[in-house]
Amino acid sequence: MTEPLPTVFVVDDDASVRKSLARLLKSAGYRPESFASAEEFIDRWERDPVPGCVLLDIQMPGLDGLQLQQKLQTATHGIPIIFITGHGDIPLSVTAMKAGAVDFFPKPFNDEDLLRAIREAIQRDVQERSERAERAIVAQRFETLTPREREVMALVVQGLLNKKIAFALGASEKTIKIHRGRVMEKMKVPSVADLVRAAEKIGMPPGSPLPPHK
Amino acid sequence: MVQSGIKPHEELHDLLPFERILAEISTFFINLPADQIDNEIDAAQSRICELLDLDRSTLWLTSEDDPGTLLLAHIHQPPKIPSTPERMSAKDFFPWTAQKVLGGETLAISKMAELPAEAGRDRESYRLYGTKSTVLVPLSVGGGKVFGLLTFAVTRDERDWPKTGVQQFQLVAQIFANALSRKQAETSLEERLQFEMLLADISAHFVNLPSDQVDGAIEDAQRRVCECLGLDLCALWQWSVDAPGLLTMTHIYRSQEGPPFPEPMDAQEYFPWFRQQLEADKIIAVSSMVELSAEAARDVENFRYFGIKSCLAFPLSLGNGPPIGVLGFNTMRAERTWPETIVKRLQLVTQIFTNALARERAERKLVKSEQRLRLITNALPVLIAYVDADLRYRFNNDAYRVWFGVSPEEALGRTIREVAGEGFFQSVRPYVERALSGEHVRCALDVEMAGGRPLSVEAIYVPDVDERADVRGLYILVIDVTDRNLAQQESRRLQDELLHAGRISTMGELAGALAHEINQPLSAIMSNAQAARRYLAAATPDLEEVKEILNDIVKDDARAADVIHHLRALLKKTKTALETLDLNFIFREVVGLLLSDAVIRDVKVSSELDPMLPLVRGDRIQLQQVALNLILNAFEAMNEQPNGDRQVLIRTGLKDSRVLAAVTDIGNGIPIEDAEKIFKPFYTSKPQGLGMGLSICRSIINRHHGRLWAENNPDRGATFYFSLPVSAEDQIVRRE
Repeated sequence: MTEPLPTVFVVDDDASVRKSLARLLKSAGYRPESFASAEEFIDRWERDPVPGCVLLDIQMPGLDGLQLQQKLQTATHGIPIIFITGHGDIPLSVTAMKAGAVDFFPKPFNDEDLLRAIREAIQRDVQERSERAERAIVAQRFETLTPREREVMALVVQGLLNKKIAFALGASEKTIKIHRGRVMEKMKVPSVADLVRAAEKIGMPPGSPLPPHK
Repeated sequence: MVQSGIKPHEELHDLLPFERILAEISTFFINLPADQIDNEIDAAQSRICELLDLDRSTLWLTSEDDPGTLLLAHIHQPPKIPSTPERMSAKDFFPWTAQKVLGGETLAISKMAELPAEAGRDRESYRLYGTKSTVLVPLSVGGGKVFGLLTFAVTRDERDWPKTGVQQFQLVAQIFANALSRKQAETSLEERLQFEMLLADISAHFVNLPSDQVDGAIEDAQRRVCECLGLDLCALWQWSVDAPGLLTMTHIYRSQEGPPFPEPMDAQEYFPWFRQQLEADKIIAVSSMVELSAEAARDVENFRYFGIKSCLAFPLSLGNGPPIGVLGFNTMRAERTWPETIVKRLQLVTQIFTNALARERAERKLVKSEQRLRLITNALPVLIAYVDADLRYRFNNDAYRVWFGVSPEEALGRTIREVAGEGFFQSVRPYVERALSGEHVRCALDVEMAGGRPLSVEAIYVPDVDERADVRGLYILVIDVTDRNLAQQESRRLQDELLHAGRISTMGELAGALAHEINQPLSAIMSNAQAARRYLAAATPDLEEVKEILNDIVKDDARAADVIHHLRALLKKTKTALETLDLNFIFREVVGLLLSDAVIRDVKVSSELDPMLPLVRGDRIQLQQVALNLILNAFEAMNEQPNGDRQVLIRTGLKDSRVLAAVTDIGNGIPIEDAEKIFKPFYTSKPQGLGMGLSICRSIINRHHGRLWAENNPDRGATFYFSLPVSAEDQIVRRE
């Protein structure tokens, strides 16, 4: 059983370009999917957000590349985008890169450069997907914590000792100990270091201020 | 002699000498010339009065105007007795007597007591004049109409009038009546003849009289009429146009001295009654001032002041509208009657004068309106003219002087061809001929002026058509629109300037769009080729796939060629809009546009522009493109140079009678083998270059009859030159 081939979406209004790119991608071992407009691609992507990356012509009728880029960022968890363009427009490429494009290629392009960029983009997608998946799991676990447990967790990841936590929350050290054990269990982490990493993933940074003492 | 009464025995004695006198008078009067008749009547009256010891003999004639008025024609009386008036209303003074005598009856009144009761008024009048006894005999010829009466009277005592004596008085009256009637016939015939001839002469003279001679002719006619009719004053007055009631005397004849008339005269103040009558278009004939009623008291007073005794006044009527003036015929020495025949004829004279004056007025008005028209048309900077059917000018405005150096007077009567020149005439000829066929023609055309100067004009030809639909001539209006076109060009230029920045960015966009269009097939070709390479590198190459790829490559290649072909067609289609240009200005403009570009690229741009550079003729936008291209090329030629070592020098000047421009860079120069190739389409040394720039520049310069070439500089870098012919306009200016 082999890994499914990564999908490369080609979005370009020019049929010749679409066809030639698909061919090139196929020859390099990717599974190309071509779309004549950004809208068609978004439809397809929303139905089945498979791993891969997008080769996107920045100048097209309808939604242009930059608009599509913004839309993809809000509608999806993000898919790496490689821009291709009929002529190298410096301000446009700067904007695109700032908005998170992986790369930017004026037409016509060298296949080696393009394929390298695709490779990188797919790697990034794979990585981001796994990170995203991990984050989702941690967040799911965090959801199971009671408010008290969350308070305890916040103080634990700051590196406070049980005694201090008990004092801060106005509870006995013994009670804190029980909460702490529940937190570790629910978050499925073996160590405090792992708990800190998990907290980072869900955006609970170390050193966040203590909840107000009641 | 007889002292009192007529005694029977004396009758015969008296009658015999009377018979003798009668016989003498009767023979004497038969062949008496008319002009002696009056004298001889006087003499005969004296002899009879002396012979018969009578105190007074009068001869009255009835007035032609009013038969009830008697005019005293002859009188014999000693000085001491009351004198009779010269004219007398018979009805007022002697109603009974006049009725009898003018009815044809002879009255012999021995004493006033004989008068019947109804003759009371008569009796009083007789007493007034001291008449005690009188014989009155009617004057008529052959039993015809009574035209006067002859009286004999005694003032000292009463007297019997024997029948035979009365008969003899009747005989005398007969002789006098015959003579007077003969005289009247003769003189009136002569007068009438003379007057008729005068009238014929005057009316003939006034026909077709030029208006500048009307005044003299009127005064001449006034004099001749007055001389012919024995009148003393004839004045022609005209009503003021702006001040009602004010009369200005324009023509006068007078034979007698008298107080001067006021100038102008307020008719209301001097002759209110006359004014009223004349303004109502009535003719007034006044034989004597006493005829006028109390209403005209003011008028009478003023007639007396001016010494006028009788007057005949005509309104000057045109038939339409109020009278334009008054013509007055007057006597100053004596009163005179205005018989109907005279009035009729003088009315004719008045009409002749009036017509002449009206014509003169109309012509003066015409001259004035023509002057006004001329003033207006002369102020207009367009050709305005009227030509007859032979194309000869009948009216020109002053613009002809400016256009053709011909004054309106000089152009008059000459043809269009003669005045405007052969070149001009040939240009307008087809339109003129169309207009001559009755068509209203409006056209815009380029004409050739004398000396070959071209002019853009708009011309309008309007046929002047008579009632038979024949074209009598043409009204012409020609407008020089050369200036207008220039003004339009100027405003377009200003507009261009505003849009210029936009235009340059549009050019950039166009280039971008073009790059995109070409990049699409190019990109497809590239990707296909690369894919093919990969397929072929596989252990078992899929040749079918590669074949398909090659087909696609060929297709995309054709597509790219199409784009370029299309672009070239587009460039060729661009119309050249010629105008007179300053190349220095174009370079300054382009350098201004590229200023920020130069800063970014760190290029120092300097210019040496010849301030005396002649103008060239060309398309502004296209020449700007050339300048832009050459300067941008120069910039790009130095991309590899280190910063601070990038310079472009722009120069203009006059060389070999041509305008020369040079753009010099200090880059790497042009490889010798490429010196001409660089102007070929698609040649480029730049990674992103399209290779069209210099090719397009050269075709633009060629189209401007110029030359574009490049040379490597002796030290380093290259210079691009182009030369253009000096504009024709500037050549003319410079020669001057």
